[in-house]
Amino acid sequence: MDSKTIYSRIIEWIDSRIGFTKTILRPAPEHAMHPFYWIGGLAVIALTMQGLTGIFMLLYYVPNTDQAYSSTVYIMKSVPLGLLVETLHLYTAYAMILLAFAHMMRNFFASVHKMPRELMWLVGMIMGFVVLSFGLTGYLLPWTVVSKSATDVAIGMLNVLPMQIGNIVKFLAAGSGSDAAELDRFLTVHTVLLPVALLSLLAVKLYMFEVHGSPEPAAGVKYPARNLPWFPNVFLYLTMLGAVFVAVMLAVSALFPLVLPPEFSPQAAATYVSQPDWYFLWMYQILKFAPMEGSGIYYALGGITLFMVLLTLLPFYDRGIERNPASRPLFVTIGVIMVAELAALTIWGYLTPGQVIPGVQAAVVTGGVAVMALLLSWIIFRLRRRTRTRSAGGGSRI
Amino acid sequence: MITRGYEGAGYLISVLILCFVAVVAAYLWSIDLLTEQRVFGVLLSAVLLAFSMLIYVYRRPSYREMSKLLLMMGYLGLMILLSLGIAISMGYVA
Repeated sequence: MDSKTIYSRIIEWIDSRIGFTKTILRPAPEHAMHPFYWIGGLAVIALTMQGLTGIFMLLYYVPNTDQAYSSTVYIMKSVPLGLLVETLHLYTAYAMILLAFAHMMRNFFASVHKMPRELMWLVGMIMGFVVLSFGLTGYLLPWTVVSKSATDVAIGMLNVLPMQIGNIVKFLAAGSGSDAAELDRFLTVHTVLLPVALLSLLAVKLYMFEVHGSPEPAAGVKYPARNLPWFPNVFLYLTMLGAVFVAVMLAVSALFPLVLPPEFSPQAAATYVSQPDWYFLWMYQILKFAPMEGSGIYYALGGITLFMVLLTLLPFYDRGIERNPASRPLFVTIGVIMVAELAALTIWGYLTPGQVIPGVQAAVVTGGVAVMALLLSWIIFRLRRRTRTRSAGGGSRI
Repeated sequence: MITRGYEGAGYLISVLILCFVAVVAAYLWSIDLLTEQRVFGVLLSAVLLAFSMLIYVYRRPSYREMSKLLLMMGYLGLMILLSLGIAISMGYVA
Protein backbone atom coordinates (compact mmCIF):
# COMPACT_ATOMS: atom_id res chain seq x y z
CA MET A 1 0.00 0.00 0.00
CA ASP A 2 1.27 3.44 -0.91
CA SER A 3 2.03 5.44 2.26
CA LYS A 4 2.09 8.85 0.53
CA THR A 5 -0.31 11.44 1.87
CA ILE A 6 -2.77 13.25 -0.36
CA TYR A 7 -0.77 16.43 0.20
CA SER A 8 2.48 14.93 -1.14
CA ARG A 9 0.62 13.33 -4.05
CA ILE A 10 -0.84 16.70 -5.06
CA ILE A 11 2.60 18.35 -4.82
CA GLU A 12 4.16 15.57 -6.89
CA TRP A 13 1.42 15.84 -9.50
CA ILE A 14 1.89 19.60 -9.86
CA ASP A 15 5.69 19.24 -9.87
CA SER A 16 5.61 16.58 -12.59
CA ARG A 17 3.64 19.04 -14.79
CA ILE A 18 5.53 22.25 -13.95
CA GLY A 19 8.92 21.00 -12.74
CA PHE A 20 9.41 23.71 -10.12
CA THR A 21 11.68 21.54 -7.90
CA LYS A 22 14.08 21.29 -10.84
CA THR A 23 13.98 25.01 -11.67
CA ILE A 24 13.01 27.89 -9.40
CA LEU A 25 12.60 25.76 -6.23
CA ARG A 26 15.66 23.62 -6.79
CA PRO A 27 18.25 23.06 -4.03
CA ALA A 28 20.66 25.96 -3.42
CA PRO A 29 24.38 25.74 -2.57
CA GLU A 30 25.24 26.12 1.10
CA HIS A 31 27.37 29.21 0.49
CA ALA A 32 24.24 31.03 -0.78
CA MET A 33 22.83 31.06 2.78
CA HIS A 34 24.33 34.50 3.37
CA PRO A 35 22.59 37.90 3.25
CA PHE A 36 24.95 39.09 0.46
CA TYR A 37 23.35 36.51 -1.84
CA TRP A 38 19.86 37.80 -1.12
CA ILE A 39 20.17 41.56 -1.66
CA GLY A 40 18.36 41.17 -4.97
CA GLY A 41 15.76 38.97 -3.26
CA LEU A 42 15.16 41.68 -0.66
CA ALA A 43 14.74 44.22 -3.49
CA VAL A 44 12.03 41.94 -4.92
CA ILE A 45 10.33 41.85 -1.50
CA ALA A 46 10.49 45.67 -1.47
CA LEU A 47 8.95 45.69 -4.96
CA THR A 48 6.13 43.44 -3.75
CA MET A 49 5.49 45.80 -0.82
CA GLN A 50 5.50 48.70 -3.28
CA GLY A 51 2.84 46.95 -5.33
CA LEU A 52 0.62 46.15 -2.35
CA THR A 53 0.85 49.59 -0.74
CA GLY A 54 0.49 51.28 -4.14
CA ILE A 55 -2.74 49.38 -4.91
CA PHE A 56 -4.07 50.38 -1.48
CA MET A 57 -3.36 54.06 -2.18
CA LEU A 58 -4.88 53.90 -5.69
CA LEU A 59 -8.21 53.03 -4.05
CA TYR A 60 -8.35 56.57 -2.62
CA TYR A 61 -6.03 58.69 -4.78
CA VAL A 62 -7.76 61.09 -7.19
CA PRO A 63 -5.51 61.82 -10.20
CA ASN A 64 -6.37 65.40 -11.08
CA THR A 65 -4.52 68.56 -10.21
CA ASP A 66 -7.32 69.87 -7.96
CA GLN A 67 -7.65 66.76 -5.84
CA ALA A 68 -4.29 64.94 -6.03
CA TYR A 69 -2.96 66.72 -2.95
CA SER A 70 -6.22 66.68 -0.96
CA SER A 71 -6.77 62.99 -1.69
CA THR A 72 -3.21 62.25 -0.48
CA VAL A 73 -3.95 64.20 2.72
CA TYR A 74 -7.24 62.28 3.02
CA ILE A 75 -5.34 58.95 2.83
CA MET A 76 -2.97 60.13 5.55
CA LYS A 77 -5.55 61.57 7.92
CA SER A 78 -8.85 59.74 7.39
CA VAL A 79 -8.14 56.25 6.08
CA PRO A 80 -7.37 53.51 8.65
CA LEU A 81 -3.63 52.65 8.38
CA GLY A 82 -3.41 55.26 5.57
CA LEU A 83 -0.48 57.19 7.05
CA LEU A 84 1.42 53.97 7.77
CA VAL A 85 0.83 52.60 4.27
CA GLU A 86 1.72 55.90 2.59
CA THR A 87 4.94 56.17 4.61
CA LEU A 88 5.71 52.49 4.00
CA HIS A 89 5.30 53.06 0.24
CA LEU A 90 7.82 55.91 0.36
CA TYR A 91 10.39 54.16 2.56
CA THR A 92 10.23 50.83 0.72
CA ALA A 93 10.81 52.80 -2.50
CA TYR A 94 13.94 54.27 -0.89
CA ALA A 95 14.93 50.80 0.33
CA MET A 96 14.40 49.33 -3.14
CA ILE A 97 16.69 51.96 -4.69
CA LEU A 98 19.35 51.40 -2.01
CA LEU A 99 19.08 47.60 -2.32
CA ALA A 100 19.27 47.77 -6.13
CA PHE A 101 22.43 49.90 -5.82
CA ALA A 102 23.91 47.56 -3.16
CA HIS A 103 23.08 44.57 -5.39
CA MET A 104 24.83 46.22 -8.33
CA MET A 105 27.94 47.11 -6.29
CA ARG A 106 28.08 43.64 -4.72
CA ASN A 107 27.99 42.11 -8.21
CA PHE A 108 30.58 44.66 -9.40
CA PHE A 109 33.07 43.80 -6.62
CA ALA A 110 32.40 40.04 -6.73
CA SER A 111 32.72 39.99 -10.57
CA VAL A 112 29.29 38.45 -11.01
CA HIS A 113 28.95 40.46 -14.25
CA LYS A 114 31.62 38.35 -15.98
CA MET A 115 31.03 35.48 -18.38
CA PRO A 116 28.46 33.91 -18.65
CA ARG A 117 26.35 36.52 -16.79
CA GLU A 118 26.99 39.58 -19.01
CA LEU A 119 23.37 39.83 -20.13
CA MET A 120 22.15 39.46 -16.53
CA TRP A 121 24.18 42.57 -15.67
CA LEU A 122 22.75 44.40 -18.69
CA VAL A 123 19.15 43.50 -17.75
CA GLY A 124 19.89 44.40 -14.11
CA MET A 125 21.17 47.84 -15.14
CA ILE A 126 18.03 48.48 -17.22
CA MET A 127 15.98 47.39 -14.18
CA GLY A 128 17.93 49.93 -12.13
CA PHE A 129 16.96 52.71 -14.57
CA VAL A 130 13.33 51.57 -14.39
CA VAL A 131 13.48 51.73 -10.58
CA LEU A 132 14.83 55.29 -10.78
CA SER A 133 12.02 56.15 -13.22
CA PHE A 134 9.56 54.82 -10.64
CA GLY A 135 11.03 57.31 -8.19
CA LEU A 136 10.83 60.21 -10.65
CA THR A 137 7.23 59.56 -11.70
CA GLY A 138 5.98 58.71 -8.19
CA TYR A 139 7.54 61.85 -6.73
CA LEU A 140 5.09 64.08 -8.67
CA LEU A 141 1.88 62.27 -7.72
CA PRO A 142 1.18 63.90 -4.29
CA TRP A 143 1.33 67.27 -6.14
CA THR A 144 3.37 69.03 -3.48
CA VAL A 145 5.28 72.22 -4.17
CA VAL A 146 8.62 70.39 -3.80
CA SER A 147 7.76 67.46 -6.05
CA LYS A 148 6.11 69.51 -8.82
CA SER A 149 8.96 72.06 -8.98
CA ALA A 150 11.63 69.33 -9.10
CA THR A 151 9.73 67.42 -11.78
CA ASP A 152 9.42 70.57 -13.89
CA VAL A 153 13.18 71.07 -13.64
CA ALA A 154 13.74 67.45 -14.77
CA ILE A 155 11.32 67.86 -17.71
CA GLY A 156 12.96 71.16 -18.62
CA MET A 157 16.30 69.35 -18.97
CA LEU A 158 14.87 67.37 -21.88
CA ASN A 159 15.26 70.57 -23.95
CA VAL A 160 18.98 69.83 -23.96
CA LEU A 161 18.44 66.74 -26.14
CA PRO A 162 19.36 67.39 -29.80
CA MET A 163 16.94 67.94 -32.71
CA GLN A 164 13.32 66.99 -31.99
CA ILE A 165 14.22 64.14 -29.60
CA GLY A 166 13.67 66.40 -26.56
CA ASN A 167 10.17 67.37 -27.70
CA ILE A 168 9.23 63.77 -28.51
CA VAL A 169 10.50 62.47 -25.14
CA LYS A 170 8.79 65.40 -23.41
CA PHE A 171 5.49 64.54 -25.10
CA LEU A 172 5.85 60.86 -24.19
CA ALA A 173 6.78 61.67 -20.59
CA ALA A 174 4.58 64.65 -19.83
CA GLY A 175 1.85 64.80 -22.46
CA SER A 176 0.67 67.99 -24.17
CA GLY A 177 2.32 70.32 -21.66
CA SER A 178 -0.56 71.16 -19.32
CA ASP A 179 -0.34 70.26 -15.63
CA ALA A 180 -3.32 67.91 -15.92
CA ALA A 181 -1.75 66.03 -18.84
CA GLU A 182 1.55 65.81 -16.97
CA LEU A 183 -0.05 64.32 -13.85
CA ASP A 184 -2.15 61.95 -15.94
CA ARG A 185 0.87 60.76 -17.95
CA PHE A 186 3.06 60.32 -14.87
CA LEU A 187 0.38 58.28 -13.09
CA THR A 188 -0.06 56.01 -16.13
CA VAL A 189 3.68 55.51 -16.48
CA HIS A 190 4.07 54.93 -12.72
CA THR A 191 1.21 52.47 -12.29
CA VAL A 192 1.06 50.66 -15.65
CA LEU A 193 4.05 51.07 -17.95
CA LEU A 194 6.88 50.83 -15.41
CA PRO A 195 5.42 47.90 -13.40
CA VAL A 196 4.90 45.92 -16.64
CA ALA A 197 8.45 46.77 -17.76
CA LEU A 198 10.01 45.91 -14.39
CA LEU A 199 8.12 42.62 -13.99
CA SER A 200 8.99 41.58 -17.56
CA LEU A 201 12.67 42.36 -16.98
CA LEU A 202 12.54 40.53 -13.64
CA ALA A 203 11.12 37.46 -15.40
CA VAL A 204 13.96 37.59 -17.96
CA LYS A 205 16.55 37.97 -15.19
CA LEU A 206 15.09 35.11 -13.17
CA TYR A 207 15.12 32.92 -16.28
CA MET A 208 18.82 33.69 -16.79
CA PHE A 209 19.42 33.04 -13.10
CA GLU A 210 17.85 29.60 -13.55
CA VAL A 211 20.14 28.92 -16.51
CA HIS A 212 23.39 30.04 -14.82
CA GLY A 213 22.58 29.30 -11.18
CA SER A 214 23.84 31.03 -8.07
CA PRO A 215 27.35 32.50 -8.52
CA GLU A 216 30.17 30.96 -6.52
CA PRO A 217 31.98 33.18 -4.01
CA ALA A 218 34.57 35.37 -5.78
CA ALA A 219 37.31 33.94 -3.55
CA GLY A 220 36.35 30.40 -4.66
CA VAL A 221 34.59 27.58 -2.83
CA LYS A 222 36.92 26.08 -0.24
CA TYR A 223 34.95 22.87 0.21
CA PRO A 224 32.91 20.62 -2.04
CA ALA A 225 29.70 22.67 -2.44
CA ARG A 226 26.81 21.05 -0.54
CA ASN A 227 23.32 21.70 -1.82
CA LEU A 228 20.45 22.40 0.57
CA PRO A 229 16.85 21.56 -0.35
CA TRP A 230 14.68 24.55 -1.21
CA PHE A 231 12.09 23.48 1.33
CA PRO A 232 12.51 23.96 4.24
CA ASN A 233 16.09 25.35 4.19
CA VAL A 234 16.06 28.07 1.51
CA PHE A 235 12.40 28.90 2.12
CA LEU A 236 12.93 29.43 5.87
CA TYR A 237 16.11 31.44 5.34
CA LEU A 238 14.41 33.78 2.86
CA THR A 239 11.32 34.05 5.09
CA MET A 240 13.54 34.97 8.05
CA LEU A 241 15.42 37.66 6.09
CA GLY A 242 12.17 38.98 4.58
CA ALA A 243 10.47 39.16 8.00
CA VAL A 244 13.38 41.17 9.43
CA PHE A 245 13.34 43.50 6.41
CA VAL A 246 9.58 44.13 6.62
CA ALA A 247 9.90 44.59 10.41
CA VAL A 248 12.58 47.26 9.93
CA MET A 249 10.51 49.03 7.24
CA LEU A 250 7.39 48.99 9.45
CA ALA A 251 9.25 50.26 12.50
CA VAL A 252 10.93 53.10 10.57
CA SER A 253 7.58 54.05 8.94
CA ALA A 254 5.81 54.11 12.30
CA LEU A 255 8.54 56.11 14.03
CA PHE A 256 9.16 58.66 11.26
CA PRO A 257 5.80 59.16 9.50
CA LEU A 258 5.63 61.11 6.28
CA VAL A 259 5.20 64.87 6.59
CA LEU A 260 3.73 66.27 3.37
CA PRO A 261 5.07 69.63 2.09
CA PRO A 262 2.46 72.27 1.07
CA GLU A 263 0.32 71.86 -2.05
CA PHE A 264 1.74 73.10 -5.34
CA SER A 265 0.75 76.54 -6.59
CA PRO A 266 2.83 78.97 -8.67
CA GLN A 267 2.96 81.35 -5.67
CA ALA A 268 4.16 78.62 -3.30
CA ALA A 269 6.68 77.39 -5.89
CA ALA A 270 8.29 80.85 -5.99
CA THR A 271 9.23 80.57 -2.31
CA TYR A 272 10.65 77.02 -2.49
CA VAL A 273 14.01 75.83 -3.79
CA SER A 274 13.30 72.96 -6.18
CA GLN A 275 15.32 69.94 -5.18
CA PRO A 276 15.03 66.34 -6.38
CA ASP A 277 14.68 63.35 -4.06
CA TRP A 278 17.95 62.09 -2.51
CA TYR A 279 18.70 59.44 -5.18
CA PHE A 280 19.04 62.16 -7.85
CA LEU A 281 20.96 64.59 -5.64
CA TRP A 282 24.40 63.52 -6.99
CA MET A 283 23.29 64.50 -10.53
CA TYR A 284 21.68 67.69 -9.25
CA GLN A 285 24.93 68.63 -7.48
CA ILE A 286 26.98 68.16 -10.68
CA LEU A 287 24.52 70.38 -12.56
CA LYS A 288 24.99 73.06 -9.88
CA PHE A 289 28.74 73.36 -10.51
CA ALA A 290 29.39 76.85 -11.96
CA PRO A 291 31.18 75.57 -15.11
CA MET A 292 28.07 73.48 -15.88
CA GLU A 293 25.83 76.58 -16.04
CA GLY A 294 24.64 77.77 -19.46
CA SER A 295 26.08 75.74 -22.31
CA GLY A 296 28.08 73.70 -19.76
CA ILE A 297 24.92 71.69 -19.10
CA TYR A 298 25.59 69.80 -22.37
CA TYR A 299 28.94 68.61 -20.98
CA ALA A 300 27.40 67.75 -17.59
CA LEU A 301 24.54 65.70 -19.03
CA GLY A 302 26.87 64.19 -21.64
CA GLY A 303 29.29 63.16 -18.88
CA ILE A 304 26.54 61.65 -16.72
CA THR A 305 25.17 59.73 -19.75
CA LEU A 306 28.68 58.49 -20.61
CA PHE A 307 29.15 57.30 -17.01
CA MET A 308 25.82 55.40 -17.13
CA VAL A 309 26.67 53.83 -20.51
CA LEU A 310 30.15 52.80 -19.35
CA LEU A 311 28.70 51.23 -16.19
CA THR A 312 26.05 49.38 -18.22
CA LEU A 313 28.64 48.01 -20.64
CA LEU A 314 31.05 46.96 -17.85
CA PRO A 315 31.02 43.20 -18.66
CA PHE A 316 32.19 43.93 -22.21
CA TYR A 317 35.48 45.57 -21.18
CA ASP A 318 36.12 44.06 -17.72
CA ARG A 319 36.64 40.60 -19.20
CA GLY A 320 39.59 39.19 -17.24
CA ILE A 321 39.10 35.69 -15.82
CA GLU A 322 40.11 36.79 -12.30
CA ARG A 323 37.06 37.13 -10.03
CA ASN A 324 38.65 37.63 -6.62
CA PRO A 325 38.49 41.37 -5.64
CA ALA A 326 41.98 41.07 -4.14
CA SER A 327 43.34 40.32 -7.61
CA ARG A 328 41.44 43.12 -9.41
CA PRO A 329 42.98 46.29 -7.94
CA LEU A 330 42.11 48.54 -10.91
CA PHE A 331 38.37 47.84 -11.04
CA VAL A 332 37.98 47.59 -7.26
CA THR A 333 39.67 51.00 -6.90
CA ILE A 334 37.39 52.46 -9.60
CA GLY A 335 34.39 51.00 -7.72
CA VAL A 336 35.52 52.48 -4.38
CA ILE A 337 36.04 55.91 -5.99
CA MET A 338 32.60 55.70 -7.64
CA VAL A 339 30.81 54.87 -4.37
CA ALA A 340 32.74 57.61 -2.50
CA GLU A 341 31.96 60.24 -5.16
CA LEU A 342 28.26 59.33 -5.34
CA ALA A 343 27.96 59.45 -1.53
CA ALA A 344 29.89 62.75 -1.27
CA LEU A 345 27.90 64.44 -4.07
CA THR A 346 24.60 63.25 -2.55
CA ILE A 347 25.45 64.59 0.93
CA TRP A 348 26.87 67.80 -0.53
CA GLY A 349 23.77 68.31 -2.67
CA TYR A 350 21.56 67.84 0.39
CA LEU A 351 23.57 70.39 2.38
CA THR A 352 23.65 73.09 -0.33
CA PRO A 353 20.14 73.32 -1.85
CA GLY A 354 19.97 75.79 -4.72
CA GLN A 355 23.55 77.05 -4.28
CA VAL A 356 25.79 77.35 -7.33
CA ILE A 357 29.15 75.76 -6.51
CA PRO A 358 32.25 77.64 -7.77
CA GLY A 359 34.42 75.64 -10.17
CA VAL A 360 37.50 75.61 -7.92
CA GLN A 361 35.51 74.38 -4.93
CA ALA A 362 33.91 71.66 -7.07
CA ALA A 363 37.30 70.52 -8.37
CA VAL A 364 38.87 70.52 -4.88
CA VAL A 365 36.04 68.54 -3.23
CA THR A 366 35.49 65.95 -5.98
CA GLY A 367 39.24 65.60 -6.52
CA GLY A 368 39.85 65.33 -2.77
CA VAL A 369 37.24 62.60 -2.39
CA ALA A 370 38.75 60.69 -5.32
CA VAL A 371 42.26 60.95 -3.85
CA MET A 372 41.05 59.82 -0.41
CA ALA A 373 39.21 56.83 -1.92
CA LEU A 374 42.32 56.00 -3.95
CA LEU A 375 44.50 56.16 -0.84
CA LEU A 376 42.06 54.01 1.15
CA SER A 377 42.00 51.44 -1.63
CA TRP A 378 45.82 51.47 -1.89
CA ILE A 379 46.23 50.99 1.89
CA ILE A 380 43.77 48.05 1.93
CA PHE A 381 45.53 46.32 -0.99
CA ARG A 382 48.96 46.92 0.56
CA LEU A 383 47.89 45.56 3.97
CA ARG A 384 46.32 42.56 2.28
CA ARG A 385 49.46 41.84 0.26
CA ARG A 386 51.61 42.10 3.41
CA THR A 387 49.32 39.68 5.28
CA ARG A 388 49.50 37.25 2.34
CA THR A 389 53.29 37.46 2.15
CA ARG A 390 53.60 36.84 5.90
CA SER A 391 51.27 33.85 5.86
CA ALA A 392 53.01 32.41 2.77
CA GLY A 393 56.40 32.68 4.53
CA GLY A 394 55.05 31.35 7.81
CA GLY A 395 54.96 27.73 6.65
CA SER A 396 52.00 25.43 6.83
CA ARG A 397 48.80 26.89 8.22
CA ILE A 398 47.11 23.55 8.71
CA MET B 1 21.96 16.73 32.12
CA ILE B 2 23.84 19.68 30.71
CA THR B 3 23.16 18.46 27.17
CA ARG B 4 19.47 18.00 27.97
CA GLY B 5 19.42 21.46 29.49
CA TYR B 6 20.92 22.95 26.34
CA GLU B 7 18.41 21.12 24.13
CA GLY B 8 15.55 22.31 26.32
CA ALA B 9 16.73 25.91 26.00
CA GLY B 10 15.71 25.98 22.32
CA TYR B 11 12.16 24.94 23.24
CA LEU B 12 12.04 27.42 26.12
CA ILE B 13 13.07 30.28 23.80
CA SER B 14 10.45 29.21 21.25
CA VAL B 15 7.67 29.03 23.86
CA LEU B 16 8.60 32.45 25.26
CA ILE B 17 8.64 34.03 21.81
CA LEU B 18 5.33 32.35 20.92
CA CYS B 19 3.74 33.72 24.11
CA PHE B 20 5.04 37.20 23.22
CA VAL B 21 3.66 36.92 19.68
CA ALA B 22 0.27 35.69 20.97
CA VAL B 23 -0.09 38.54 23.49
CA VAL B 24 1.00 41.27 21.04
CA ALA B 25 -1.11 39.84 18.18
CA ALA B 26 -4.17 39.74 20.46
CA TYR B 27 -3.57 43.38 21.42
CA LEU B 28 -3.19 44.34 17.73
CA TRP B 29 -6.74 43.10 17.06
CA SER B 30 -8.12 45.59 19.58
CA ILE B 31 -6.24 48.64 18.28
CA ASP B 32 -7.94 51.59 16.53
CA LEU B 33 -6.34 51.57 13.06
CA LEU B 34 -6.87 55.28 12.47
CA THR B 35 -5.70 56.95 15.66
CA GLU B 36 -3.17 54.32 16.78
CA GLN B 37 -1.63 53.30 13.48
CA ARG B 38 1.90 54.15 14.61
CA VAL B 39 1.53 51.83 17.62
CA PHE B 40 0.16 49.21 15.22
CA GLY B 41 3.21 49.60 12.97
CA VAL B 42 5.72 49.28 15.80
CA LEU B 43 4.00 46.27 17.39
CA LEU B 44 3.52 44.50 14.04
CA SER B 45 7.22 45.07 13.48
CA ALA B 46 7.89 43.38 16.86
CA VAL B 47 5.72 40.42 15.87
CA LEU B 48 7.63 40.01 12.60
CA LEU B 49 10.97 40.23 14.41
CA ALA B 50 9.78 37.58 16.89
CA PHE B 51 8.63 35.43 13.95
CA SER B 52 12.07 35.66 12.35
CA MET B 53 13.66 34.72 15.70
CA LEU B 54 11.42 31.65 15.85
CA ILE B 55 12.59 30.62 12.38
CA TYR B 56 16.20 31.16 13.45
CA VAL B 57 15.76 28.96 16.53
CA TYR B 58 13.96 26.31 14.44
CA ARG B 59 16.73 26.26 11.80
CA ARG B 60 19.48 25.50 14.33
CA PRO B 61 19.80 21.86 15.34
CA SER B 62 20.72 22.70 18.95
CA TYR B 63 21.08 25.60 21.37
CA ARG B 64 24.89 25.28 21.17
CA GLU B 65 24.80 26.19 17.47
CA MET B 66 22.74 29.33 17.96
CA SER B 67 24.58 32.64 17.86
CA LYS B 68 24.08 34.14 21.31
CA LEU B 69 24.88 37.57 19.88
CA LEU B 70 22.06 37.31 17.31
CA LEU B 71 19.64 36.06 19.98
CA MET B 72 20.57 38.93 22.29
CA MET B 73 20.16 41.41 19.44
CA GLY B 74 16.73 39.92 18.73
CA TYR B 75 15.64 40.21 22.39
CA LEU B 76 17.00 43.74 22.56
CA GLY B 77 15.11 44.63 19.37
CA LEU B 78 11.88 43.20 20.82
CA MET B 79 12.35 45.14 24.05
CA ILE B 80 13.04 48.40 22.21
CA LEU B 81 10.03 47.96 19.89
CA LEU B 82 7.74 47.06 22.78
CA SER B 83 8.94 50.09 24.78
CA LEU B 84 8.47 52.35 21.75
CA GLY B 85 4.95 50.98 21.22
CA ILE B 86 4.07 51.77 24.84
CA ALA B 87 5.76 55.20 24.65
CA ILE B 88 3.87 56.16 21.46
CA SER B 89 0.51 54.98 22.84
CA MET B 90 1.11 56.99 26.04
CA GLY B 91 2.08 60.08 24.05
CA TYR B 92 5.74 60.21 25.07
CA VAL B 93 6.94 60.01 21.45
CA ALA B 94 5.78 62.77 19.09
